[in-house]
Amino acid sequence: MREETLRSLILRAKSGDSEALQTVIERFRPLIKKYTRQADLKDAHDLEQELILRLIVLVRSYREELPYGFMELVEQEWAKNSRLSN
Amino acid sequence: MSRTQSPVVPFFSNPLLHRFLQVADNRRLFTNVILTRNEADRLELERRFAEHYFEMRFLGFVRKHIHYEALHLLNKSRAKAKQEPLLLNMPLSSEEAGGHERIELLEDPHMSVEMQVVEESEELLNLTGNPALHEAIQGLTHKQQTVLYLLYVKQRTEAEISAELGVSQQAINKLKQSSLGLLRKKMSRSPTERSVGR
Repeated sequence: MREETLRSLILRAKSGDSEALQTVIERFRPLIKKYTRQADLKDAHDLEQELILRLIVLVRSYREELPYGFMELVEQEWAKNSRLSN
Repeated sequence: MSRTQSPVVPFFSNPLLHRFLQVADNRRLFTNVILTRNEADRLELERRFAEHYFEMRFLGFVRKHIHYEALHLLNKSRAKAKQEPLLLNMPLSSEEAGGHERIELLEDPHMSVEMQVVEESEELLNLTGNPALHEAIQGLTHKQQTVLYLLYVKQRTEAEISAELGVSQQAINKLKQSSLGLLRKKMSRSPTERSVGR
């Protein structure tokens, strides 16, 4: 079985799956640590909590969008390139 | 992962496509679709691209928002630390302090009037680092010590002191002269004489 994609994780978390949400938080912990390391020791824990909270809000509020399919984008790029070479 | 390296390595300046086609499987699918127009492969490619697009967009979205939120919070706590440093809540250095904070060592500044009087009368004595002078001052009467204290420590004029203590300025001047005379006399005596004289 292949590893669960970020997309399916986010979609599950959005629909209220707390286990999926936990996994998302773990995946983003390195990003959050990057900032908590810059804080004073006494503030680091608070900052971590705030950022995790923010992440949860971001996950819940995220809306999937797909403005173009793969082949559409490829054709757009090719059209652009041929216009440039002409 | 990469079973058959596709001969065609398509190049796209679009970073989204470029990154997507860095994955060998995606490249293989793409070549298949172009060459054979395989519908199943095309659907798989589209599905994978949707995943890829989602991932890139979501990562960008989260990174941007977490970045700004973190900077905002870091700046806020730094500004707060600068404005109201918790110096008094700093733990005492040694371990035997048992987790006590500096604030617990502060004394109540509102001490009783009696305490203040004692403190002040002692001040003149404490100000000199010279042991001989210290001893000489101790030999003065309380009145003499007070006048010297007010004159030289508190920098009051004779007129001010006379008003404060309710005695004439001449009396203050006389006390000053006699006290200084006594101190001079005691200080100029040889150490042996002084110890004998006690």
